[in-house]
Amino acid sequence: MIWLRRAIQLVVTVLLVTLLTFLLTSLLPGSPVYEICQGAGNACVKQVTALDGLNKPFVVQYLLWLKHLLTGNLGYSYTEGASFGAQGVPIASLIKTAYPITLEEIVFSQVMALMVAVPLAMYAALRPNRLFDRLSTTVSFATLSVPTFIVAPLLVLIFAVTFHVFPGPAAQIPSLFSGQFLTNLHTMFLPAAVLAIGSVAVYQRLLRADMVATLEEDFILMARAKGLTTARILTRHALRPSTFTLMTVAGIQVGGLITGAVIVESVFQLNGLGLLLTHSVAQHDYPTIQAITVIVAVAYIVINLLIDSLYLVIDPRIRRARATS
Amino acid sequence: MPRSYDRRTFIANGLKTTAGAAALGGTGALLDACGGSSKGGGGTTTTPPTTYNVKKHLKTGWGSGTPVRGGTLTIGTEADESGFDPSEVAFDSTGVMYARTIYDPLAITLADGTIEPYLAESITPNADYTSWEITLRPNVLFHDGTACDGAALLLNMKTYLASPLVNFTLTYVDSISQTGPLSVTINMKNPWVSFNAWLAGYIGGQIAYVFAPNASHKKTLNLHPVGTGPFVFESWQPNVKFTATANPHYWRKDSAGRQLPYVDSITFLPIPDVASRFSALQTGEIDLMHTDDDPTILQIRSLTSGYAYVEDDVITVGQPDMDFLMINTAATPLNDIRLRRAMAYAFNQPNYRQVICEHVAGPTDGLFPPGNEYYNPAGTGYPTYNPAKAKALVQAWMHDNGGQPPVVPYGVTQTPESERAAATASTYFTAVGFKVQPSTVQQAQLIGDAVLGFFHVLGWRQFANVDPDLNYVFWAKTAAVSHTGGFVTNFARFQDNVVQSELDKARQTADHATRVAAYQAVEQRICQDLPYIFTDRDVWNVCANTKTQNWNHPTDPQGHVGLGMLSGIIWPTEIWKTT
Repeated sequence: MIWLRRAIQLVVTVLLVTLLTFLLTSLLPGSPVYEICQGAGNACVKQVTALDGLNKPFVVQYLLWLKHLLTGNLGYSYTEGASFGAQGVPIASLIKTAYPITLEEIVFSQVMALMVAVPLAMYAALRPNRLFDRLSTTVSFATLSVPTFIVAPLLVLIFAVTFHVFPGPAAQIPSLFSGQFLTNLHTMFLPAAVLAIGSVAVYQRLLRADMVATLEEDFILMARAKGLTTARILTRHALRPSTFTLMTVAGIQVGGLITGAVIVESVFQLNGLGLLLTHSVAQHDYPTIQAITVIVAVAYIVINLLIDSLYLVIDPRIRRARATS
Repeated sequence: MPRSYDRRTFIANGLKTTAGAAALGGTGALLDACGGSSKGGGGTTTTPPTTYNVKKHLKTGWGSGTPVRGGTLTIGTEADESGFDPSEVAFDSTGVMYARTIYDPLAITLADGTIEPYLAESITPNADYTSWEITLRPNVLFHDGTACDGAALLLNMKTYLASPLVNFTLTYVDSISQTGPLSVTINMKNPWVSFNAWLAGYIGGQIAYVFAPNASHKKTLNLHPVGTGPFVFESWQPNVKFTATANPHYWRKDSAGRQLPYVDSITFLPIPDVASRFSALQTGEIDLMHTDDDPTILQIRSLTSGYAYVEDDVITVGQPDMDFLMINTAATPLNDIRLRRAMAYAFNQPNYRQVICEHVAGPTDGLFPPGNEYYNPAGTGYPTYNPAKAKALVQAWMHDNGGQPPVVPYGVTQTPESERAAATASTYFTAVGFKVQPSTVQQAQLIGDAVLGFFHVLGWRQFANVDPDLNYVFWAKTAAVSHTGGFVTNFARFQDNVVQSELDKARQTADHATRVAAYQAVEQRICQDLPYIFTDRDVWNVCANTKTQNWNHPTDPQGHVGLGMLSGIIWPTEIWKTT
């Protein structure tokens, strides 16, 4: 039952997102017709307006678009490969090329962030308000306060341009499954690191706070009394119950990461969804903007749904409570 | 021009109108004072062409040693194209390089500005230039294995004549017919002496590029181009990458009989963010890049080793890009010459060059800068900065128009650079009594406004080409009235009988002195009528690592030196990479 409710919520949310997306892009100043016709004159404007249904009422346009969307037809780009109103390349093919890069970038960045944040948080929680804890707090706030558009070019300048440790912008990224796994990771490291920096600070602070509280619980005292090592207590007993806030924020962070990906992909010229979105906005390629927005929104909703479900796995109390209810 | 227009800006009608909106950047005057210089790699082989400023150029980008075969050449461009069909997509700087990769132009511009056949074996006018016969080279095949012959060329020309993108530039053309197995004859309504310049394939001259009829019939040309060029199309991901591989059957060999092209493949990476493009060059992700962004040009100039660069302000043939404010001379209140003159007097070009253009190029007072073959040493008559005169003219206008200040809407593209430039320029006009209303609009909207006349003042960039005749459609009186479809190409809508007759005279005469005089007369009329407030000359820079050789040394099939980089455009055919 709960899953049915969630599914209905998902559908309603997605529908609202599509409506808002369509509405907002429609409200943008100017007309996509100009982009399509590129000054080819009134005849082209009239032709394209009629052909693409741009002269129809908003609701009709939206329903037509939704109908195509539900049948898997994301439409055709207004600009890429298009000329004088002729259809451009299918948006699905643009997205198919772009999404693996953004997905890898985000996953890699989050793995990187967790690999750094979790040990730091555990160590800081073990000795709260001591030198390391205070130092890590200060560093966290410092990294949080530096925006991505500053961090990205700075890292490029230091690690790519000056020391040539990592490839620079526009580096060609081999597929993760092309047998060049290490090359892929090497190329993706810097962009992922830029995204990870902000996450590290957030995750470290949240996990540290929760873990400090957990370490004061009775079952931790019991574990200590039983003579378990500190490492075992931290990893086997304290970590799992301390991760609820971390998981919730990680889910919410996805939206911020996608925003960050727009900047990172622009700086590094990674041909992911962020860069595609940037191009589409610049060229007023409305169908592509709408398609990307919907995909990102659905991904965001699904990820948060999955995280909700993970609570059941992590905490037996929630599992039991739901079973009882 | 990233700071004003990216490439897909202009387009359409204007072919060449890569016109960048935005009054940005710029600079001006004496090329010797502010122009670019060259340094770094590139060896020497022969005497440099006389049209280059030798002190600055030093034959940068000329190959050194024996050409090396193999490797991949990667070029970073300011933007991507929206396709490859020359009859449907207006090529800007990037597009022309794409075209030179896949197709061959019928002609080539040499370093001294003369036009020589390229894919064509001969391009021959009749005695009075009312008929041009183009004869193709024998045994040239398209990439799909079909023959590049007279029938193919006829289809090409008929396609261009039917294309709304191109046909308005061919108003002199009366008829086209195939006159031999490899020949097509184009009959003109009037003499057209400079027609061959349109066949050299620069911005606006898209009719130069010969595509395979099969691809055109199948309507696949825009996404999968087929030509006779040095490289064969392999793949294109819009805004991501365009890759082509060496054409093993290419018809050209170098002067030593070596098969061209030298590199195995070529990849173009559109990198709109100029800082990222420059970083990519420095990290070796790309071998060569172009830019007209002034701060980046200054950074490139400061490179000490490992790179070579050229700037096109040393090229004196044809016509350079100019940045200017374009005025709608048909709209109130700027249809009053007093106000246009007041704007010209009010524009503080020295200050603008310092604040906005960072002195990358020199000042400008007309269409043809000093050193250009059409430059008028007697002066253009363009007003120099004089705010007192500007104020007086505005006051006079206000006296005749109810005492209210003239209101001037001023549109630029939505970029920080454009807005900054517009804000700076607005202060000049406000100071003398104008009420300026800056606004930003989407790029395509800006073009649409220019085409349809829905503007008063627009930031703009335009005019680079190998022959001023390619700008005929932007200045002619006949182009200031509506074409089919409701648009005009003389965007400023100035209708000057003298300009029209001088443009026709220049187009119809074979006498160079007469041509020069005609274009100087056009320039003077424009500087009197003031449809444009010149802000600076636009300078393009192409920079490559020193492993990349011979990128600024194109030759024609007879070995004559071709025109080097212009408007960020180079030839990929004869480039090689050292290990």
